[in-house]
Amino acid sequence: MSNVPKHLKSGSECPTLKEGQLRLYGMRFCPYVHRAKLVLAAKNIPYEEININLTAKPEWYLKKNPPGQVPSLEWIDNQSKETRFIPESLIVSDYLDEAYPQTRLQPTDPYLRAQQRVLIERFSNVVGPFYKILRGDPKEGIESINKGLTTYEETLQNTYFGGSKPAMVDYMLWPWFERLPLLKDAGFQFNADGNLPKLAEWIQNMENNESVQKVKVPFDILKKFIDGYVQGKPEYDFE
Amino acid sequence: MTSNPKHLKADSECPPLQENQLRLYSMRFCPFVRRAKLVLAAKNVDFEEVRIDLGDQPDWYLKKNPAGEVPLLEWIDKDSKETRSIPESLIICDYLDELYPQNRLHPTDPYLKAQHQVLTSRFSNVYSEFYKVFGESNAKNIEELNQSLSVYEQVLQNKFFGGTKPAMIDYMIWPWFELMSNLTGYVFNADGKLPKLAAWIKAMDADEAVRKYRVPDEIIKKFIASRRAGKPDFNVE
Repeated sequence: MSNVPKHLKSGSECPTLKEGQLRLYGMRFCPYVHRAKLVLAAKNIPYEEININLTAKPEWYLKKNPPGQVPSLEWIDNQSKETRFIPESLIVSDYLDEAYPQTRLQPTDPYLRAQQRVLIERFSNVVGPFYKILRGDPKEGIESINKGLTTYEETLQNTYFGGSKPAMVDYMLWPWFERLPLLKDAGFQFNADGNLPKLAEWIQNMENNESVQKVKVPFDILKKFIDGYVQGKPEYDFE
Repeated sequence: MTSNPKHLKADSECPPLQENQLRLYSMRFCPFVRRAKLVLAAKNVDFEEVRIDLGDQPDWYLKKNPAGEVPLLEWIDKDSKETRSIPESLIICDYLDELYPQNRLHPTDPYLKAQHQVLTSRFSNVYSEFYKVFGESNAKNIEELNQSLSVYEQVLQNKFFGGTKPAMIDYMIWPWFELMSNLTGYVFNADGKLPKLAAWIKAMDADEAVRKYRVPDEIIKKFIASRRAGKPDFNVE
């Protein structure tokens, strides 16, 4: 796909932000950016994608966002004409859900919403070991990730964590499930002992989801990126 | 709330939960629990407090919250009669704000709300520096704490972060300022570079919701001393 924007690095100029245009600062392979893209796709919100080279961040991006992380959202407010900016994947995702009311992703019931937020919050029990395995500590990582995944297996009562259709929680968790096959080389096979049947079915359903398919990065390119990333020398622009 | 319940340990039994009663599992000096109490106070919502000894947690508490942390909100649902609970301070506070519409703490404007949430989220930079100073109040740690606070000094444009009155953001970051004033070896705004924050602290000191369940400074000081000595005395008076 030749229309993937190049990852802008230090020394680059910030592309001019146009009125009426929502901009997403991202990195093609980042799971946190992936969260925002899933929400944008699920709600059919058009946006301009600007990719950031995370090992040589542009100075203009650090001015906008001192921690330098992605994703972040930027746009020019219609009325005041001031430039607005929001960082942090969960805050970006919740903002989009509130500002764009079509296809509400968060439940309206406060308790249900709180329960699903706890699931998102505690997913660090899966994300942590995921990176442990990726970075070459498979033994402890595999045991921990299976423990973490079992909690989600036990919690899953319907087709989706959100109920009969995917809610915010499903999209917030998905990016790491899409990346689980990357752990194969390190010896991790999802559901190896067959104890996660509900999760396995959820994965199938999510893989068939329109929004998931719309933003999916081809696995072979993702693998190339990860190989470089694990070595400490990530490359961002392929093709 | 006039009683001063002891922190329950491993040998305790779980006090029975009454219908129509909101329960907050807590530890008297925990800043994350303080967040929830500030919201409950701001909205004038009654609750029962059950304190947990965080060094010797009861099994029945670990069953309710495997992470073993406080705060945890618990109640019996009116319709289904099932016992419901929510952990995690920010999730509890947002839940209370959504459930109890009086004195809305989050702005209604989604962008303003998001800006406030970013400030709350990034406050972890301040409290991680705070804990370093707590461990050792040397010049380097103090400088770094003050640096992290200067971000908030710069952002503060009104009397409160929320505007003319405190919003969720003010209450979410407040608990560490209560602890900071009791940290020996650290003087807030010693170099005079945080004047707006100093004024904000005074304004928060006078706020009704802050005053309602505030633990007296002398008791906080005693607790901090006991923690520094390696033997936290949760029931200190």
